[in-house]
Amino acid sequence: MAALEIDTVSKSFGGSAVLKAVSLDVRDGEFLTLVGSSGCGKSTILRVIAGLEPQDAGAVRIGGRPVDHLRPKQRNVAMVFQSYALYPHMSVKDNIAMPLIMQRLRLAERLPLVGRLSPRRAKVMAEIDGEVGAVARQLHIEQLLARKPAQLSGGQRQRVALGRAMVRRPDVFLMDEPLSNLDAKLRVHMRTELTDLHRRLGVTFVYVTHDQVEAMTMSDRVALMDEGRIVQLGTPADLYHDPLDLRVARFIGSPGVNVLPGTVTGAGVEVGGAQLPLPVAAAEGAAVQVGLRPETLSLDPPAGRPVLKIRLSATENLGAEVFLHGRADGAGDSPIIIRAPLDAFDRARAAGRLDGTVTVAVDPARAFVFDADGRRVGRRPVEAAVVRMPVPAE
Amino acid sequence: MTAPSPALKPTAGALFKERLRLLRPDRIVGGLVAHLVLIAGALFVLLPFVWMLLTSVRKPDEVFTAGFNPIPDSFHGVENYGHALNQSPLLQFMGNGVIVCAGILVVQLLVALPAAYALAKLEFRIRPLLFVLVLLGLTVPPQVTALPLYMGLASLDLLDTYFAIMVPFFLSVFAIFLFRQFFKTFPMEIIHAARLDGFTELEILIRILVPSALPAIAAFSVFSITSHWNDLYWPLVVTTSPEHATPPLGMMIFRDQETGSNYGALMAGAAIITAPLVITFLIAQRQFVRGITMTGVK
Repeated sequence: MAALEIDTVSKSFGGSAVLKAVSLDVRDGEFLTLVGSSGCGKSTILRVIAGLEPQDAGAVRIGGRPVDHLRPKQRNVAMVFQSYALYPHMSVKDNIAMPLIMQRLRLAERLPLVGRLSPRRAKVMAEIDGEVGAVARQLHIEQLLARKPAQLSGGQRQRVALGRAMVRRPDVFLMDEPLSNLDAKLRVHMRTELTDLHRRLGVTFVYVTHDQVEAMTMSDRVALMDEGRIVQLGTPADLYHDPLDLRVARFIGSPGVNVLPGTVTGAGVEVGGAQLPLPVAAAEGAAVQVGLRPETLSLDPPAGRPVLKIRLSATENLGAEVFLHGRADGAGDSPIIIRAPLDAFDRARAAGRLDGTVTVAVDPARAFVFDADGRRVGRRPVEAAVVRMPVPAE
Repeated sequence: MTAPSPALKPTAGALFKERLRLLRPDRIVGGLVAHLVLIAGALFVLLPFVWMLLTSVRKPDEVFTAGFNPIPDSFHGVENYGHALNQSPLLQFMGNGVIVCAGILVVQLLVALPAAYALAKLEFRIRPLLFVLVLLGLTVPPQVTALPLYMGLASLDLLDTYFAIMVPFFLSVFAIFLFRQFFKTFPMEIIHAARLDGFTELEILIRILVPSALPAIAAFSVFSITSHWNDLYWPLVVTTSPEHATPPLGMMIFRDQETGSNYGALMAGAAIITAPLVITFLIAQRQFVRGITMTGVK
């Protein structure tokens, strides 16, 4: 168990910078997720931590100890890969045992025939067998130990890969999109199983995914990455309710955030005819982008709150809630989604307020205002910025 | 989310339609033409071989007089094969062939597998340059280096040894290229996992890549064994004594010394020395085809 520090790490491949002075502190025992679209550098960070790719600049410390000069196996980290990366011709048992065999047997003892001459080999192998068995029981794969990876289903391979990582009791667990090759149902199941595993092991997890749902549901903290930088680091709730950047607001949440063009006025922000009384740190008349989460738009009568007029084009009834798709009148005709609880939808329909257009009430306190570059301006609780924002270096 | 679709089993009707489709006249003609071409090709390739087998059981006087009658009038095989085996040290030639081919193959694999791994999976600055050199090596015919090699061996007093027959072939550029292409397709993630688990680079090669590359290794082995078993040129250059003669060279010595124009016995000898190759290929056939088509690992 150990904390992990990544200190202004940069890395480029053939002239294109993949990591630009990334800094990140992962606390001991924390489940931290790196999320971002493909090519944002999140997998590269994992490989730098593991020592599989040397960084061009910066340092990595595990448990306060610099590891930059150490080879991958000496860093005591374990990694689960997207393709599981099981050794194809070895049995499940050998796959799981390999890290221990490599750790505990000397080079000569690992040789095919000569190795058997060593008196301590049999004892070590018996110990390893016991530990492999224990891990297999924990993951419920005891009955698969004799099989080859090709004879396993995706979920089973996933467990074997986890077992191979667990057996060596690493300080840090690195996971590179471990669930993306599973079918949807199994993925949901493995999410809870992984968080469960994290709780039981109490080890530091660094988890990479492009799926914001995984990031939101599993992590203690999430770091959203884009173009080789960490855009925001915070709890899942921070990223959802208090995004510091338009990219964060857009990436997190499903259905995605509504973004409408607005203008800064003396009293706040004007968007689609609605006046949002928000203190905005921008010059009057400046163009801004206003982010409104679909569930913050209310179908109930406005009761004095600012309103938007929306032309409806489609409704999706999901049972417990309803998604209404439309376009915002007067706000650049931007597409907009309203997420309403079923009872609110029923009330509005009964009151005849859904006749092709609908008037929705906006909660100014839950609106995000971004400047033209996508940076958050306006109401933003300063104490929420728990991020150690990296100094951008060009 | 979606339930797995049931296995698509063709119905009886669909199967019948499929058979009907195969029976359409244009299909039949097309199939016939294709098979005729294949049969003609096979005959063309196999005929000398068949003729060798037939000649090896003919009487000496029948070899030339029989015209193209494929069936021998009388079976003279025992005499011919007996003559071939008794009058010449055929078994010794074949033993030499085994020693030479095995020696060459072992060293080729020992050199080519690590080299191919480095060229395919390790990062170092001069890798592209080295790979270009390997490709250039493919273009150098063996005759070009024959004279310097001969002189070198002569000055070291190594002529007429097994080593002299084997040494030019120890470094197989073709093997390096073949294995490099195969290793390229091997998933990097598995190699990364192995490095994290504490494998040394050599262990990654031996424990992980080589078992996956067995089809490619089998394919290359067939190429290597065939070409060096059948090679006449280089053994003829560096070997003078029958003690080290490989099968084709032995056949040549055998023809000169003993049999003169006893073609029946000569063909019997040829049949005997070809047999191991045919048997090897039949055993390794499946691996060989798999290795050449290089489906890679899943």
